[in-house]
Amino acid sequence: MSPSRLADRDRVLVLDASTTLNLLGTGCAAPVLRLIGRDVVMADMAAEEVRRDPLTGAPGQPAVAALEAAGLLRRVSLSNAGYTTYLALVGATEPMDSLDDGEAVTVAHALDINATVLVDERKATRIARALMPSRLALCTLDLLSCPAVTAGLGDARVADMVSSALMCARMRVPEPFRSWVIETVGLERLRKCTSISRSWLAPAEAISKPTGLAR
Amino acid sequence: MLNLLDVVDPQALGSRLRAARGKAGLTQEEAGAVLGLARTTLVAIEKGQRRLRPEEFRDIAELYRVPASTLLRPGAVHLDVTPRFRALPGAKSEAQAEAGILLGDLAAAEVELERLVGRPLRANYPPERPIGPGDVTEQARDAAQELRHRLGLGLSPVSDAVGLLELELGIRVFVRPLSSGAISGAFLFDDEVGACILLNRNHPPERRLQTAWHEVGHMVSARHEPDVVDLEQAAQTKEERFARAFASEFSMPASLVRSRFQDMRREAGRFSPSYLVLLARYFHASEEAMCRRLEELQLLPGGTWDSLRDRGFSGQHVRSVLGGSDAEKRDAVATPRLWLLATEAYRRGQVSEGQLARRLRMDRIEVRAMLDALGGEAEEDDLESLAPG
Repeated sequence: MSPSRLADRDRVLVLDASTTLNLLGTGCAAPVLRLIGRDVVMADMAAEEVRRDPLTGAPGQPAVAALEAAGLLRRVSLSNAGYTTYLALVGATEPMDSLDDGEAVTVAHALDINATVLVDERKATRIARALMPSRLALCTLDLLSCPAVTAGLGDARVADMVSSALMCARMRVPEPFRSWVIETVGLERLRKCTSISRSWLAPAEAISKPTGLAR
Repeated sequence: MLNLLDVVDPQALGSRLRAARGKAGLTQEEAGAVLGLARTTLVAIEKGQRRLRPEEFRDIAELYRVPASTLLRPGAVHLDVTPRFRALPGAKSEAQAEAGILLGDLAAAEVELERLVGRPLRANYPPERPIGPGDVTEQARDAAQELRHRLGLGLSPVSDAVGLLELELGIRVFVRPLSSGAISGAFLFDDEVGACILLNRNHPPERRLQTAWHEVGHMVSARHEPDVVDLEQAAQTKEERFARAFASEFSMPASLVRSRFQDMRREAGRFSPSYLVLLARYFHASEEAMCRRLEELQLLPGGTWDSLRDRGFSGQHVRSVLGGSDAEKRDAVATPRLWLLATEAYRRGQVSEGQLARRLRMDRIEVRAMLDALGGEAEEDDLESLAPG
């Protein structure tokens, strides 16, 4: 069963650098964005933070520009109201409430136009949820595991792209997606991903070990 | 939503704006002309006598190419080091200023992390030894030997400069790529952040080691003056000669160099280029530095390195057989102390990945690698309370 939380109401998705890097790391950013069929936007400041394509090591801006040119991503600027929110986020008095510029413009723009934040960063996710309690903040795996993508690309390609994002972009795997990632990619491949914490692989590894009982 | 510009301290903001304008290399007239503001208005803003409207702030931040987070973040440490580094002698003033500004920003970021997690740095600096009358080189050698003795190093070669400087001496160390290949490092002392050293990550580890000791030498003799190591510049001042001699003696102590050289020569009956490579490896030095040291100690004739270089000498083959030095294998993403502070602040939810990437001038994937190093959730463990397995 798909753990994706991408719902019909999520018509507009606002990406930040963290998710864009993960998507580029899959090597399938364009097909994924095409298959999810949403209006995907990115604020200027967030787009500028994609410095390097994690798959190729090449500068990141051409990769973002290619997605724009293909009509799969739109760059946007903040409105005046959005800018005020952005300033409040980067200048928050409490460190726990502050975000970096790219994260802040993403949340500010989503709040401004009542859209869905797509971010792979836990502090930004927490703050986005606090500001928009009626909406979930989604992550890259919400896109990669969504039925439209898995059906469109097929099991093998999905496994490859998830594995690639883990290896190249060091994509995080939030708890609700772990079983799906293990099932999709397989333990053998996951063991080679240094970004994955052994602690959440351990239960699956324990189940998969032969018991060694004598016949 | 609250308009932050209505509540932020205007004098603090004004001061930051002034520093940002300086970093951008703009005069008040120039900035005012682009922004459509009278110079007197800009003066009032920078003195905190006039609050900014959001659209004005936006224009200024774009012009100065400074993110709003840098200008508005409470608790941000701001060092205005630009004038100090621009005033240094030398032809490469822009490259020097770039290194100095980067060092100041990184030091400020580290202090900010320290304050967030409540772990101030404990400095244990070597005593200052201003240069007195007499031979500068001899004074430098004495200072180097004194520091080795103080640290309990004896004569042993030291490979891990960063660990020594951070953990033993409490000097902040940063390793980052610099755009100018001629700039090997920089040193800064400031009352707010203490002593800081920047090393060029684009340089080989042996070069970085030598630069680290060079800057320590500078710290010993001229603590309150900033310094930039420019490989293309001859030593022009006595402080520079002191720092170079200090670095040589600290990294390749004369008595140990003589002893090892004589041992090798006695075994083989001669001292061939391959032995030069081995000796350099032993001292974690480049072949050039090692050869020049041997020349300086009159163990090899003066000009030996120049001859070797002209004959196309390269220790590459021997090094490829030997598998490279330990130092070559260590090309750290972050220095140890910075890593500890950053991962702790992240674990507590006080900083985001984006905040770490910006403040520490790291690529986001590098930040992820730094945070992954201990395996994520495993860092929540307190090893003293783990049940035996």
